[in-house]
Formats: sequence, C-alpha cells, structure tokens
Amino acid sequence: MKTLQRSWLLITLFLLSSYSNYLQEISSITCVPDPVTGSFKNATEIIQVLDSMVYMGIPGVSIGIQSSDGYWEHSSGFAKLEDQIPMEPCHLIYLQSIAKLYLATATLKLKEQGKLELDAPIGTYLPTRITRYIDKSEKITVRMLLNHTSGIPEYNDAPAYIAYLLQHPDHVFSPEDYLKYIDGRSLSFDPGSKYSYRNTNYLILALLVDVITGDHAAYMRQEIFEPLNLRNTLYRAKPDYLNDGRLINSYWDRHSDGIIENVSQMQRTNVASLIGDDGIVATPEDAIKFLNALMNEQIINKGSLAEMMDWQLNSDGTPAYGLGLDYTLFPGENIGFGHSGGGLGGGSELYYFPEKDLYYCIGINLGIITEGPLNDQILPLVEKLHKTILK
Amino acid sequence: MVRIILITLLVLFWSISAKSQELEIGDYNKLPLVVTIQFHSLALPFSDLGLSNFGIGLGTEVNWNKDHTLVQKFGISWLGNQSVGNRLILSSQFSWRPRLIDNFFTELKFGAGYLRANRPTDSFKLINGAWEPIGRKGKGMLAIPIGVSLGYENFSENHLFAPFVSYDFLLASGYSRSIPLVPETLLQIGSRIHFK
Repeated sequence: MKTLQRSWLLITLFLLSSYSNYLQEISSITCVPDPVTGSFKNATEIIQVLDSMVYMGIPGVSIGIQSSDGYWEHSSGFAKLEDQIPMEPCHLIYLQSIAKLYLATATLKLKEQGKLELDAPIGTYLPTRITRYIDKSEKITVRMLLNHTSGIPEYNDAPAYIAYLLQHPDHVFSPEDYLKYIDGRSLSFDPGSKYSYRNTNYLILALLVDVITGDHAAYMRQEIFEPLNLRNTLYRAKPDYLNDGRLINSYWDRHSDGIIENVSQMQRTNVASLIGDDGIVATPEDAIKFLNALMNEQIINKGSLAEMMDWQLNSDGTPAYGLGLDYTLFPGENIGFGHSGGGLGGGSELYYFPEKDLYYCIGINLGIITEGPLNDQILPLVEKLHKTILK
Repeated sequence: MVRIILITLLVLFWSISAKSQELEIGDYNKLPLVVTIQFHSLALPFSDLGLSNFGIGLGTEVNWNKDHTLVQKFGISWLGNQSVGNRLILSSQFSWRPRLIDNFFTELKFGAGYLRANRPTDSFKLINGAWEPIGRKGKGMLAIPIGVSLGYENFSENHLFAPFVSYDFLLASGYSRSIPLVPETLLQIGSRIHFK
C-alpha cells in the first residue's frame, strides 16, 4: 500500500501547487470629474432614484442629462466594490450595443462620401472568405445589416459560444471566430421580410467597413471622435485600449441568486474582442455629445439622418429600429431615439427625446443580459427614473 | 501540463504493474475503491477537450449480476476549475460493462447526481443595501451524467487494479434563469482497486 499512499501524496501536492488565487478584478482609479456647469430641474429626485438603484443591487451607476438647463451629471455607488472606489461621472462606462449607433453613423458617412451604396449586396464589398459563412449573402444588402432585416442568425446565442466564453473568459475571439458560430446555419427568414435584432449584422458591417476604409475603428475615430473632440471615448485605438484606470469594474449575478461576482477581466476581454456590435467605452458626457451632434446633423446630413429614421416595425406594427437607431416609447408617450446596450458586466442607455429636446445617458456596472432577482428589483426603478427625467 | 501527464503515467504504471496477493474469486468485486484523476470543462460533448482543470474522484460500485456486466457506481469528485469555479459532484450511475477481448472491457453508463458549483472568484451579497463579501459560495444543481469507458480487468490472475479511461458528459440544471442547462464534461483516468 505504500505505492498507493505515495501516489496520493503526489496528487495532493500537485493539487495544492496548481491552485491559484484567481482574480477577475481590474484596477479602477478614483477619478475627479470636472465641475458641472449646468443643472437639471428634477436633479434631487433623480439622485434619490439612483441611490435607490444602488441600495437595491446595482454596484455603481452613472448618469448624464443634457437639457435646456445645460449638462448635468451624477453618479452613485462604486466603480469597484472591493476597494470601495466611488463611481464618478468621469469613469468610463461600457456602451455595449450603443456602439451599433456609432458604426451605423460611420456607414452613412461612407455613403455620403460615395464610397458605399446602402442597397448594394454585401458581397460587393466583402471578400468570399467572409461571405462563405453567410447563407444567401447575395440577397443581403448593407441596409439589411443596418436595420436588422438580413435574417442572418445570431452568433452569441449558440450554446457552443456561450460554453466556450464561460470556460475561457480570457480568450480573445477574432471576428472570424464569431462567424464560425453561424457557419452552415440558414437564414432565419427571407432577407428584408422582417425585423429581428442580431449582433451578427453589425459584426459583418464592421468587417465590410474595414474593407472600404482599411480600419473601421480608425475611420470612426477620424470621422466622429476627433471632429467632436470625444477624448473620453475609446474604441480599438490600440490592442490594450481598455487598460484604462478610469474603466469601471464589472459584476455579474452568475446564478440568478442575487449574489454577484467580479467579472471585469472577462467583460474587458469580451468587449475588446467585439467589433461593430460592441466595443466602445465612454463617459456619459461624451456619449451625449455624440448623440447631440448626430441629431443636429453635425456628423451626417439631413438626408442620411432621415434614412436612419426609416423605421422597421415590430410585429405589432409599432416602429422599432432604423439604421442603427432604436425607436422606443418611454413613459408619458415620449418617443426616444437612441440605443441601449447590455453585456455580461454592464448595461447602458443613450436616448434623445425630441419633444423635450433632452438627451440622457446612463451606465451601470451590473450585467443585464441574464435575468436575476437584482434585475427584477431594478427594472421598476429604471422606469421610475425615466418618468422622473421626462416629468 | 507535463506534470499532469507524468502523474497520469505514474498512476497508470502502478495500477497495471502492482499485484496483490491471491484473492478469493468471490471477493473480487465486493465494494472496490475507485480512484480517478479527472479533467473538467464547461463544454459541449467532445469539444474543448484538454488536460486541464484537474480533479480527483473516489467511489465504489456494486454488481447487479454475477457476470459483473451490470454495475451500480457511486462516486464523489472534486474538480478544480478556476475559470468557472471548482466543482463537487456526488453521483450514482448505472453501468453496462460488456467485455471486449483479452480482458478489456467497455462501459456505457448513466445516472444522476448533485453538482455543487463554486464561483471562480470572491462574491458579494447585498445585505441592507451594502455589499458584503461571502467568499466563493456556490450553487447546487441536479446533474445528469452519461458516459463511456474503456478499461482492463483480469479476474483470473487476481489483479488488484483494474485501470480505465472514461469520458462523461453532464447536463447540469438550474445554472441560472437565462441559462437553465449547462453542459460539462469529464475526462477520467483511474483504476478500481480491489482490496482483499
């Protein structure tokens, strides 16, 4: 039995030596925001709602509002719980799917410059090494990618993708890695026949803009970020562009039991891998500057903006989505144009309310793509926040 | 990785070469100790295979028939997986174990078990509006394991050890509201040890 005892001893030693203190947290710095020059009429009530959201389970929240009273911002909770670093408006929040609005804007800019036709088949621009993953790509136009009517399947609901992402949280996916998850899958519906939101559309759109411009991210920086002086908006300027101390830590209720864990490394790696459908981090102020410029025809012209607002309809006949622009009916029948975003470790909203001439951006560092009791508790508060803003 | 392979080879070598003193035939299959080293992954079947996420398992089994071809297995495993959290699995599987040639056997098995999935990092719980650290507290789930094995056993020469390799696929329920089922896989290398 001595050999058996020795082998167990070896195994135990191995297990002890291979065990490491795995950490997901990233360093978030304490940042000091510039003094706010503007105000907002319902600021006190909004602060109360934000504090309630934190009390009910959001680690940290940051908001910015641009109204006739100027720009006002506020944060509540923590950018990093472990070190008790307060969330501040100068922290960078994950815009998540709001990135689609930026890419759509860049695409319309290309159309204005005569470098792209919205109704051309995507194969006009994309090489076969990309189109070979897409069923009936010859029937799909650039516009169908922009307004989610292509029928191309979603890559991120593939069980193989979800399993691999969870097991390999530090894996950097290439765009082609994502496309492999739709390889061999048929279109969900005839191209152009209906609207169905898919992240894959914007992944492919980013690759298409890459072909035309050489680098879609560089083009977005050149045509959008730099002219608008968006110095607190980061998107793929360098491979480690998310290694910025102002970036918030991210938390996720993995098992839908109200217990959260730090998933910052996974969130950051995931977001840095995503192109077109995600990938931008910014301050709420910078996000609002962008939407304000877009709505005031400072980036694209009136005709392009009108195309952006050519709404696809929900199944109930209500407007849903234009070209990268979401149409949402908020409390009080207030129409909002903009986009929302959700990820494993963050959530965000960026909207313009034309009837109030008001812009609003919010970012939280709790994952909202999976359901859980925390999200259940927070949803009514988000609705209350909308009502308070639009009062 | 080199360490894993070396230890695996060492255990297999000892398993195959070590022999006990003579055993009574009737004693051979009475509650053997089953010892395994295991490699865990949160993955679909036969994807993402690799010798990582090391774990160990202990178990035993009882025969349903005299031919030792129908077996009920009981086991407990601890699996280290720093990406998705360590696992503790308690399970029982019914096994059909037909003989192949030259004392080699194959096995098809299925059953049910309890899977305790820890979190990979320290976690927090909201208590009166403040987040309190609670360690890596995990979640218990029902698991349905199915698997296949290939092994060697020698009744006639009264070998003490019966080495085998096994591949199990587990479907764990209740991971979260949005992900009700998660696939997990186990590559197991081990041996039954038939004490006298």
